[in-house]
Amino acid sequence: MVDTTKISFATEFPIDKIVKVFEGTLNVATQFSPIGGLGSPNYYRMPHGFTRPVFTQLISSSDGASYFDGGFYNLAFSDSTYVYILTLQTTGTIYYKLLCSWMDNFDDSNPSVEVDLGYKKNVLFDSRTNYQKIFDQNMVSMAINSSRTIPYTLASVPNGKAYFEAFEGQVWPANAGGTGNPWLYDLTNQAELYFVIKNSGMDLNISGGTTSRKVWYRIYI
Amino acid sequence: MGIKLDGVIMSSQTGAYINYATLTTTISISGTVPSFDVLNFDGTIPYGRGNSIADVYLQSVNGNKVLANNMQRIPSGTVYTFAGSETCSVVTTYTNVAINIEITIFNGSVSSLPLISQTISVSAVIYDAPFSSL
Repeated sequence: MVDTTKISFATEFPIDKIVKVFEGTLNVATQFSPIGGLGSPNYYRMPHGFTRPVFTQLISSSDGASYFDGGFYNLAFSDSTYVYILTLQTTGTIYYKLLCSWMDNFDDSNPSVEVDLGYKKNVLFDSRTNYQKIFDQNMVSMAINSSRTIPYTLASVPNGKAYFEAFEGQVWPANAGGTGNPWLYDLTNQAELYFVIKNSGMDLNISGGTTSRKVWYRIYI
Repeated sequence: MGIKLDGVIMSSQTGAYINYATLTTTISISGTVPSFDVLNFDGTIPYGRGNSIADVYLQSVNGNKVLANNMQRIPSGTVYTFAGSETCSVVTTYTNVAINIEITIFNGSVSSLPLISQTISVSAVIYDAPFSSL
């Protein structure tokens, strides 16, 4: 039996595919606008060039030296046309590094896409390094204020991620907290998602919104 | 020429999250939070690679695990055992020498709040992301 966590990659398991990289600086005062009503976060958006949303992973900084994970001052999400950077800042500069990865199972279209990484590197794969393998991934539709468990049988608690439709057609990384969640700006229409990875399954919990929402999960080994 | 990516195991036309390292630390939580005040608990993972990116997981002693990225507030019933009506938030910072994880407990009540002593394990799955600065 091969321990797949110790080998570079296995043809049995897919890996995340990064299809776009955004890096740069933004001026909050001149380039951002409120995404909702009074007190809502400000947003800036950029076309990603695909016909479906992408998974986003953001780190950002206000000084270009110390970077924060998404979810602290800034957060990124996408729709079928744009990636969005949300910020709680009203002034200053945002230094951002944003990775966009492909969403398998988004729909049945399987479009032909042009991949633009936005950087110059000659080597994309190196078999000497290790890649995180996707043990299971899928999309599930969840009713308002519901929970469900994605079961699995593994030797240890795996890693995992989940994205969801905070609004229909917008794919956000899981975030929650109710009125204490700084990214919750529409108490009627916006949904929240959190997940817990346990020994025997991933628990998905969605709340808020007015209609059922899609949730995409990935379980890694 | 385009490429179809659905169902593709791996592709030489896309980048990848290279699993560069998985490093761990623990954060011990205890003490009493004064009324309308906070207590901060920090964990540091030394890592000499500037501007890397990581998936940071928090795990409780019962094995439950949450991904801290993008989840500023830690929900009840996940990895932190609440003593009362406090809030628990987490932020991860990257510098050129370390990844710092800070858990902040806020007590918004009029009385001080003794916390339930607990230890949270932190694991950072650090990637060599295809940023131009790396």
